[in-house]
Amino acid sequence: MCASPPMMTSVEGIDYALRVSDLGKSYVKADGTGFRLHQVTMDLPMGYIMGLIGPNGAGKSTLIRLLLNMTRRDSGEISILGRDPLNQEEDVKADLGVVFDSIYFPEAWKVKAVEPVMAPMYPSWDSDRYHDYLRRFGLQENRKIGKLSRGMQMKLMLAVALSHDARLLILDEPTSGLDVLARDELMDILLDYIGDGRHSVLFSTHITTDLERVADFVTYINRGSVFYTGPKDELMEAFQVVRGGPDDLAGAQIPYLMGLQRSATGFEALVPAEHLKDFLASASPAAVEPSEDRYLVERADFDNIIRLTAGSPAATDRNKEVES
Amino acid sequence: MKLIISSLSGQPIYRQIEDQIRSAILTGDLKAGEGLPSLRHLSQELRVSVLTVTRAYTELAQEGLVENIQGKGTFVADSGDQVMRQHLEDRVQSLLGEAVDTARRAGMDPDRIRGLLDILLGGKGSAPASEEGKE
Amino acid sequence: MKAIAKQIRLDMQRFSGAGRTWVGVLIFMSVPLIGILLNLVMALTGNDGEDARTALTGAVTSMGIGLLVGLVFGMFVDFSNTAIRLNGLLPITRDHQVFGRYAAVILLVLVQSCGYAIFFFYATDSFLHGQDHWRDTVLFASGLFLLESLLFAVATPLFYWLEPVKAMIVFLALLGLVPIMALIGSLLPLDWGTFWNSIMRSLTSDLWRPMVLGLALILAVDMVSIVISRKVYARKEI
Repeated sequence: MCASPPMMTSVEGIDYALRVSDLGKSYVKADGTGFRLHQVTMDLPMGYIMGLIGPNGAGKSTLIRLLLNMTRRDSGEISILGRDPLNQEEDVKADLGVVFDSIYFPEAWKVKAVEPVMAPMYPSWDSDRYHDYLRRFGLQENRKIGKLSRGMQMKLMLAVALSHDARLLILDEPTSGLDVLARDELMDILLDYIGDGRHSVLFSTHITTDLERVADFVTYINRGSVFYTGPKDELMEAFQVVRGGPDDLAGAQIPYLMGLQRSATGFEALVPAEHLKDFLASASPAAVEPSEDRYLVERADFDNIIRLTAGSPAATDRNKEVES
Repeated sequence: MKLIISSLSGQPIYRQIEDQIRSAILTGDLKAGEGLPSLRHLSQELRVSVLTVTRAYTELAQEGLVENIQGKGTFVADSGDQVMRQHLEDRVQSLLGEAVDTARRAGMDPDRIRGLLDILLGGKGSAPASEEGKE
Repeated sequence: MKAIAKQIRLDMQRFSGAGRTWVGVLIFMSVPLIGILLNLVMALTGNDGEDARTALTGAVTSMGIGLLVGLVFGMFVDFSNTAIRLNGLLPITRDHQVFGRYAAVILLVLVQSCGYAIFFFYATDSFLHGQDHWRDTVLFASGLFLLESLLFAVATPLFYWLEPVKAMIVFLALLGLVPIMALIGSLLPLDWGTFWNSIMRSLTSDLWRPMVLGLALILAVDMVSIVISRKVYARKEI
């Protein structure tokens, strides 16, 4: 599907930073409702950035926790940098840099307590680099970690993750506490990080504008299943958003759309690019050419795709929303 | 080389990169044999994904405008500007053909069409036609 | 092995709460040091009767145990909040985390027992009414080591299993059983005084028998404890 990039020698020769196949996990949440991650399959070639998107509660964090053995998988295979994290956990994790959505150090510690703890954990800890990052991020060694802002805490985790030559960065909602400047800075750091083609990034977020430029691949998880995984540009070209007045949607058009939202003033539909012609052609006062004037057709961005597909395949049971 | 990327325009980013490199080759800003920035370098500079740049380069290579030399990088093809010009001329011809067809359907006579063309040519200089989707 | 060593280091830092191991060690070693100091003051002021010394030993020892228990439980405080996720990303398997934690605790208990040996040697002449001061010191320190090791062997699986607060409550409840048992025991028609005296006498009659017995007991109990902790922690969601 994806035009094989000239950088890759051959399809067989691709090294993967991460391969997941048929991963499954089901459990009962504290509130008694069940959750199921179902047959998740995705591949991230070495040297690229993959975004993990989807509404809250779709299973992004569960997937990341499964990658890290923080919760046990029921079925499926995981390969991180060519190794199974169940059998070779310590080798795998020495090569991973991880950033969570909130700090994983005790809040009572000071920033300067972090290095003595983390440095012995990694054979290739680079103290100079770590201190460079602290300086660059404006992290003061004498501050208590609990007193740092969310953004600063994220930067502290990022500094650790970038200072032991990790081959794969796994970032779980890193941008949620960051302003635009800091998010931009993070994107620069990530692009710089994968610059040599040996390093890769898996990055979950609900702030999709970050990903729209920077990600090479996207995995969209919805209700515990993979809706799409592959090159980002292909996902962005796969759909069009069609908007029209309240009476402009005919029953015959419904089969051609993937998601729908109606309001008093009109409707918004997600239409696969290959069905756009059929969709427009089957408008109720059948008029092929003029129907384009009735509708506003735009390229769908991630937010449109998520918003219009999150409910269900046909978006009919939108009330039964999946919560976080 | 100057590259300006808009994230608001409806055009995909790879297409924007492609178009701008194409016109740089056409105008001679990029000369035959000259190297394009490396994929990863350009991706960092533009703050866009590596695959996006890869795609732009791949499509340019398929058109014969640039060549990818294993392990060295991407270079403007020797006959890049000729290929480009040929490519554009073909495109102009087909667009004009379409315009003439439409004009005939509208019942315009040839002089009217010529007149319109003169107005267009007089109004602007040489317009680098490189936007709008196909068909 | 390397991973276990990493975990021991990490736990030492957690234990001290600030990333500086010696601070923590100093805090819990300060108690016997203070004991020695108090003893010195008592000797200088002439208030160093047998009863006063016995009281001092009891007070200082129980304070030390309390402090160590509190600090070791501090290692598990992270289990209550998001900081537990550190355990999920470090290059240490869960098994090695468990082994490392037991090793760290035993190490701490050992260090503390040594501190108390010094205290006992200087501050008490004949607490156990023995003639051999060296032997008494060794017995006292080993007894402390035994007691603390058993306490942690009971407590640790609870902390892997439950949230820290709940684990603490269950642990205290278990400790509360001891005086209740003692109370029930005292109601039984048995001469406990002679019973304990005979046990104590047989245990302290020589040095090696109680030492070997105690070590075997610690080993056995810790084995069971580690097996349970591993099982419980392997299934935990972090």
